Amino acid sequence: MYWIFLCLMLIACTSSDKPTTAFPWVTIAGREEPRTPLYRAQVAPVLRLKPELQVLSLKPELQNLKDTTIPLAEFTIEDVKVTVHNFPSDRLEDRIPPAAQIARWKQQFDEILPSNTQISPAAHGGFSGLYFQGTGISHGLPHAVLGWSMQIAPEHYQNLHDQRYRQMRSDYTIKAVGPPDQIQKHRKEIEQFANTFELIEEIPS
Amino acid sequence: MKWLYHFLGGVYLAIGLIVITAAMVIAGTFIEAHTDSHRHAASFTYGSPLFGVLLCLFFINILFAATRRWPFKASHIPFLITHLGLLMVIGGTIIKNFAGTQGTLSVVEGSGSDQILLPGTYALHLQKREGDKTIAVNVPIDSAKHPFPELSVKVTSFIPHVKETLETWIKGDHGVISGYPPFKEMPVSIGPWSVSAVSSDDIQKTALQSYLQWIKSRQPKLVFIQDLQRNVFLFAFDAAGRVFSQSFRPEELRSYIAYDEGYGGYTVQAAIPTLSLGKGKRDAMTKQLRIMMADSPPLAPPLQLLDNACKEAGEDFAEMLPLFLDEWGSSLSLLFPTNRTLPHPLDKVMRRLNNHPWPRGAYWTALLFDRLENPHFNQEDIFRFFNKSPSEDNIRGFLTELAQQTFAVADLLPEPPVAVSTTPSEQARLLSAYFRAYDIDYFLLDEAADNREDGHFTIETPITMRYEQLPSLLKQENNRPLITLEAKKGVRKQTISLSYQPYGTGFKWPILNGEYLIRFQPRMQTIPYRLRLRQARQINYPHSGQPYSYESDVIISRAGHPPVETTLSMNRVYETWDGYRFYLSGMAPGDDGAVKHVQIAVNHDPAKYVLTYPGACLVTLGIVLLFWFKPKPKNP
Repeated sequence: MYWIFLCLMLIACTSSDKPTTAFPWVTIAGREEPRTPLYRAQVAPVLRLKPELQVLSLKPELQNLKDTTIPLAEFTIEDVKVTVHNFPSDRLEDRIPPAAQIARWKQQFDEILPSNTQISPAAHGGFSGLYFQGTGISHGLPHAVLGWSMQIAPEHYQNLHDQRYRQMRSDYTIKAVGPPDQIQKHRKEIEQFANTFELIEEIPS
Repeated sequence: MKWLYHFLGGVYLAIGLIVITAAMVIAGTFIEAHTDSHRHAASFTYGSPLFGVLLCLFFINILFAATRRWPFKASHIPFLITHLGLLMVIGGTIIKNFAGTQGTLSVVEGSGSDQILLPGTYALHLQKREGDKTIAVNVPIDSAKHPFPELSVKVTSFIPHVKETLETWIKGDHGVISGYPPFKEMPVSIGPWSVSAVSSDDIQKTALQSYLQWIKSRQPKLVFIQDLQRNVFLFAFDAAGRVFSQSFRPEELRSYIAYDEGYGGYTVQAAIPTLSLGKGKRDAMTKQLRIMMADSPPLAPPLQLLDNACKEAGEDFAEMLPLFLDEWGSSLSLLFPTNRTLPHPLDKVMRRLNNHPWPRGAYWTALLFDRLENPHFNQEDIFRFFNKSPSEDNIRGFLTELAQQTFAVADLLPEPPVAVSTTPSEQARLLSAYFRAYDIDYFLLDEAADNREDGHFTIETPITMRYEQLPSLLKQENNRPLITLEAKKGVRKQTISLSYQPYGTGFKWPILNGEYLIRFQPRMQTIPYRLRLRQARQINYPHSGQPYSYESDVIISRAGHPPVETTLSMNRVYETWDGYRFYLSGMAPGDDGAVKHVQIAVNHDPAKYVLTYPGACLVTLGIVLLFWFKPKPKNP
């Protein structure tokens, strides 16, 4: 009896050490040649479990990407389009402030619902910026946007001053656009994607 | 000799050692409670050499106590197992003290490190450049051997505790701008700008006084005001009275300039905007007016009046309107002042206005505004006079409304009690009254120029540190020592004071004309694991800013092994197969929108799995067996 009690107590005291990441990584190449993988992000398991959703299918990347209006990668979930852009810069002061990016996204609405608009600070992977959530009307249809406009921290920018790190020190944006109900339905997956988005290489210190 | 052997393995030594150890531990507990300093208490207990001697004596005592049983019998087994276990535990502790690792790994989100800082140790971080490479070394401050043979560094003084303050524009009680002599109340001049520095505990009041002084001279002015916390506030009053301000708080200095990666020193900069003024603005408006006038648009009556006068005088309306507004604006009057001398072309145009009839409202508006400009009135009085709250409306909008109302009732009023104006400046005043009713005034110039900045001029000041000696704190961890050292290379020599940077962060200061960088910090040690911090977060209680927990997602890698991704949190420690333990010990800042700096405590006990844990198991087993194998009762 005592042995059984002892064993139960020991089992109760153990803590599981499950790995925190069991999801596949999607890699995304940089904007300049050679287009080697630069970023990666995790795809949520729920998407893997529901193949009928056409989970985040990667589109071919054969365009000339010097033009920063062309996304580095574009994914789709139902009618929601998730695009990733980056904006290389040569000087700290040349960077576009995240607030300016978000102001531009707001202007893309014909009509925006102030009650459904939220801007909050965000930081991960050495980048910091703003997370925008907005709902409104665009081209006469209900329209929602989840967007992250991120810049690498100034202390990292200083360490990446060498030209070979130009892509690594780029700002990036992740923007999910689509019907509000679908954005809401896939919010977790999109946020998971954005929150795990990071540089593949460690930032030198 | 035999008595010594029996003494060392005897119960009296064991009791003596237990009593001394207990006394030390009790003393350590009281010291820690009194000083709140774990390090201070540890230096008297298990961190002291005496405790090491006690451990060795325990080891000898237990070893000899066991060997005294020789030759061993079967009944000795539980006793021997217990003593072997104790020897393994004490041996493990001794090995941990000599070969173990206890340090802090400081890492920023996105980056990684395999270097830990050993707390409570003092070292110099030195680095220099050789070609494209940077060579960095970390040497104890009392080290006799120096890794850079050409450089000699000697510590000349050590102060246990100082207060460190970062200084920018005001050093001591003098203002400093690179390239100019230090200044205080006697201002220096940078171009048209006069610059002064003051200390004050009431920034708002001092800034207001500076502005009032500016009003008297109208000379562009830069004022640096330092508060009691040594925060510096810069106020710039330009020629038009516009104010630019910027704060420089030592605790939260957001940006600085590191020249040549720090080898050229550190500075902070202020970029003072120079707005489009005078001719710049007039030109901008003239350009816009010419484009507009090309289509001959219908003009508001006062503009049409001015346009007609310009045509009669042979002047360009697109140039005269901005000139008129600029002259009006520089007078800082509600309407164009009658005592102002007009530039020649404008004078010519104003004379032509005599040929045109003025609406009665213009006369009455001019008369009313004469009263409002009475020296006994100020802006607040105007609002009070009309029973309006200043917060309800802005003065400009209110004055326009007032002029419009006057124009609306002008026909019901008697003939204005003034003679027909003849001088150009009186004509200009009536025109400005007419403009006021149509909400046209000198602010249009700003709008035309769209507040465009022509550019800016930049000033900078070197970043320096100010140290103030303080009594040493009982809580040793909070002491910030200061060393003064003499660096010498060949005939060149430099003395520099450096404060201790416990996390190995902060400025690396240039020495010997920027040939080397140096920082006073803990000793560093390379561990076989590299830790990359992917993301760190503070988790708050729901609907609250109070932290509930801290978490860090990390990748821990070692050459030849697959990397491990895990999350460290307040109660979640990661331990490698060979005994390296990583746990979260600090994170800053806490807000969501900032990149986090995280401190991870690293602990390594090389004997843990080999000696300490098996030893503890043997002790347990030995004790169980001691009760199990009770000595058989002797035969009678």
